[in-house]
Amino acid sequence: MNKIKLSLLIILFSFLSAFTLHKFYVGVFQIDYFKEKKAVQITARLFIDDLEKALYKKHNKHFYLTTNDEISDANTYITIYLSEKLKIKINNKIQTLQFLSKEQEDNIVICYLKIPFKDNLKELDIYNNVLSDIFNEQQNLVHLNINGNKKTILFTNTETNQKLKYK
Amino acid sequence: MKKLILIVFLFFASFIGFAQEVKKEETKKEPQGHTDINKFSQMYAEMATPNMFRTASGAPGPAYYQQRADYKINLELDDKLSKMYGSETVTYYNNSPESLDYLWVQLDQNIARRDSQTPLIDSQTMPQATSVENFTKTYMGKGFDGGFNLEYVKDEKGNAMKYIINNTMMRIDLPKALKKGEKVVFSIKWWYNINDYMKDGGNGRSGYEVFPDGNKIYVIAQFYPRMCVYNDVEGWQNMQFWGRSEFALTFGNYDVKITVPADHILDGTGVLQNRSEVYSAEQEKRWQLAENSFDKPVIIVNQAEATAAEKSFATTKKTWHLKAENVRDFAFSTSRKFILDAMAVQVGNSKPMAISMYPKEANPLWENLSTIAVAHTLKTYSKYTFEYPYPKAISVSAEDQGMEYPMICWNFGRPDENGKISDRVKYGMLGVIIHEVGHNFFPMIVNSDERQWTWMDEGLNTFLEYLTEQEFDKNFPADRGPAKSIVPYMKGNQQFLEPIMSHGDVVYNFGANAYGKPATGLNILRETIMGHELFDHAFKTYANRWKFKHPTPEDFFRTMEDASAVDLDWFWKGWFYATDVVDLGIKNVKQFYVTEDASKEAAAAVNRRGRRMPNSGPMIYLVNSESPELKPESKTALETEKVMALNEYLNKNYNAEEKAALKNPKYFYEVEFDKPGSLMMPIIAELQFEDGTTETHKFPVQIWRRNNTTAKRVFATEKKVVKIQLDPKLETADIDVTNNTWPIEAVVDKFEQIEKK
Repeated sequence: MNKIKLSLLIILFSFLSAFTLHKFYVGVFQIDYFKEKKAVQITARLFIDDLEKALYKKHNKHFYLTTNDEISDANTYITIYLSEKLKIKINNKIQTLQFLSKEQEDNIVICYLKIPFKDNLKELDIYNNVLSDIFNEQQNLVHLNINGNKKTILFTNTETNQKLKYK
Repeated sequence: MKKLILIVFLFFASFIGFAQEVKKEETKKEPQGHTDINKFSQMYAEMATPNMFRTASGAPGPAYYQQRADYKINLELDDKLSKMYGSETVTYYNNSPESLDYLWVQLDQNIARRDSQTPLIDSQTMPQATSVENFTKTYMGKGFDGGFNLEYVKDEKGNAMKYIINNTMMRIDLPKALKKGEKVVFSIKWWYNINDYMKDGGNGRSGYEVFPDGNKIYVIAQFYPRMCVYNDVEGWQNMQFWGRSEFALTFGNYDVKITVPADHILDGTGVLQNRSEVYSAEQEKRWQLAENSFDKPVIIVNQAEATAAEKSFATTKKTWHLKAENVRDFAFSTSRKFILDAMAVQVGNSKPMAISMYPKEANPLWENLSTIAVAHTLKTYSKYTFEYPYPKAISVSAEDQGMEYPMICWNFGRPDENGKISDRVKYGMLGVIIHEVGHNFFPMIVNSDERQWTWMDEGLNTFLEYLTEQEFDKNFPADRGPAKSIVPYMKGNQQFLEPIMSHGDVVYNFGANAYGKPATGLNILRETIMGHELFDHAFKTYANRWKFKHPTPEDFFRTMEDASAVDLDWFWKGWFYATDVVDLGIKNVKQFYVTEDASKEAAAAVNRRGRRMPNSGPMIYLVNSESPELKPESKTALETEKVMALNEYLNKNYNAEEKAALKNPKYFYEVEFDKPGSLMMPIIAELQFEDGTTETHKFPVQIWRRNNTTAKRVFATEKKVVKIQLDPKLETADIDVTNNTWPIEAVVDKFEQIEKK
């Protein structure tokens, strides 16, 4: 639904991203599931200013993320944003992301999220459009570790869905 | 029928039998040979053979040449309709040994033509929902009407010249070949619609930014037909401008007259020729003050003057006249919104001016920091390369920009509409100013071919940007430079990684590939492999050899080795020519104890080798802590007095003073390192002792020269080792640090930590 507001920006940023001070435009996600932990654990590493920009475009206000001026319910807005942009289905059932906490590391914000789950994980559907809706060059690397089964997959603004099967 | 099948079967079966027999004989094979696959083999195959143009030392050769193009340009801006009208006379000098039948000219504005090829090379996906505005624009609109409209291309005598336009390139056919040492003069007249770079797309590196009151800030570049580079490695560098890989440009002199509304403030590449005609008397006086102000900027056009000008819209005009010598390009910026400040910078014997132009919306951030950052950049870069040779460097405030031209650049970063300046905005603005001003050195002066090799200017510049930022402020947040910051990129899926030595247009992650990774590579060379002294001298040598010239990657690689006597071919191959990754680990640690009791194995070894060491005297034995033959009483720290043979030897051969000078090792460890990653690095091992002290041992990368997978080292220490840490300062871009410690440390479960809180 924020796609509607942002669609103009898709075009806008697609050429802005050609500039010479070139940013990374990379999000790094770690998605781990170990049955004994009874939860899928998700770590999202995003550039703070990119996330700030995405939230600003959506809500037309500044969040001042990870500064002393950060607005009080910033975490709620981040959770809503991430829930729209990172959709995870397990065994064909859509799951709800729980926001645990976040921390800053240089120019990056690390968000910790989880999905309570304790059954056999057989199928994982991931839709990842985090920031790639506004930054044409955004790439989201997802490192998966499902019961020790490791794999890395890449999401871009034209590759937003991936399905994985586990035995 | 069945019979036939049987016959056919038998027929073939006999063949199969025969074939199998032959095959049996064929299976006898000797081991297969191979070529030199050692990681240290030298790069004769990868690099072009040195020649008279470019030498094996990495310097320009005795036959090195480069072309020259001088421009006389007249421009007029229609501020109301945002159109640019221009004409130019180009004098092109052929210094190459060849004759040229045609010239190639770059028409970069054509990337914004309605029939431009650039938008057609991207994949599209259908959005599930879109705004009516966007829908109309995308599916119903014709798009921005950009691109050059050429009125003529004429020779010196005014005769039309034959030309053909291929997208962003124009070939002008010469009536007779341009021979070595000859020059040709031709003129072009054109106009184009200037784009709103935030909305119209096209050439995003230039255009205008419009403010709510209708005022515009123009940042104008690629506004004239520019000569392509012709040289010994590419011939004509006429690869199309697709929008990403930037420019290859010929040096020359520029004489440019720009007519804009009389209430505009303008500055650009080169020296202003008619300051008294375009500045007020008061402003001219302030400029003279600025020329002697070395500690802080002097405001030349102040905020009150700029705010007053904003309210007018002059119909009268002024012409600004700029001249620049030995530059590869020309750009300028103009607006009636501009505040302007400047200061002088002492760089060796020269005193270039650091200048900023910005609207009131950029204050107070810009008046406090922009010109200071420009001055700091000129000084710091000069220290690592050569004295800044141009008369000035301008930083222009332009939102969403970060783009460089000779002596002028556009930079983002303003307070938000609440007037708030977060650290992120401040450091973002400082970072982009340092980066773009820094581009004066690479590629404006050390003029590498950006169309072909993005990393040569972006990588080198990002590296110096990092050093300059750290010197500006110890706490400057650094995205690019430190080795650990490149790890998330380098450990990614190999399918989406390309070597740095790839064309900029084809890489998946441009920022990491062409900026971050080469900058990090140079930082690793400086900090870990070469050391500051050798690196800085070699880097400076490269910069000085190639200033005002056109270097290639090989010229850089060769110079770095030639000037330092450090063999770096292995590093270039792994870090620049391949997507190899670093992963060093500690595979095994064995502790040994000194005894006089030979284990069976040790005794056998001594017997075998006895003939070779007849005079080696009494032996002592080092027994692995896990050996069943190790007696419990031997499992102690070494005390030389208790090991008779050793004690006797010491007493016999050393006096008390000499004995006191000997080292006193008590603990013995054999550490096996392994290298799951294919890229080599020196081994940096930190031993941590019981008492909390540490000791770092560094083994040169050549430790991998024969056995490229494992290496063992023995550490004899006076204190008990409790932990061994590989690469303790994270300086090698090791992509997996879980194998970097002994004993293996449990990875902290962040989630458990969080949930406990």
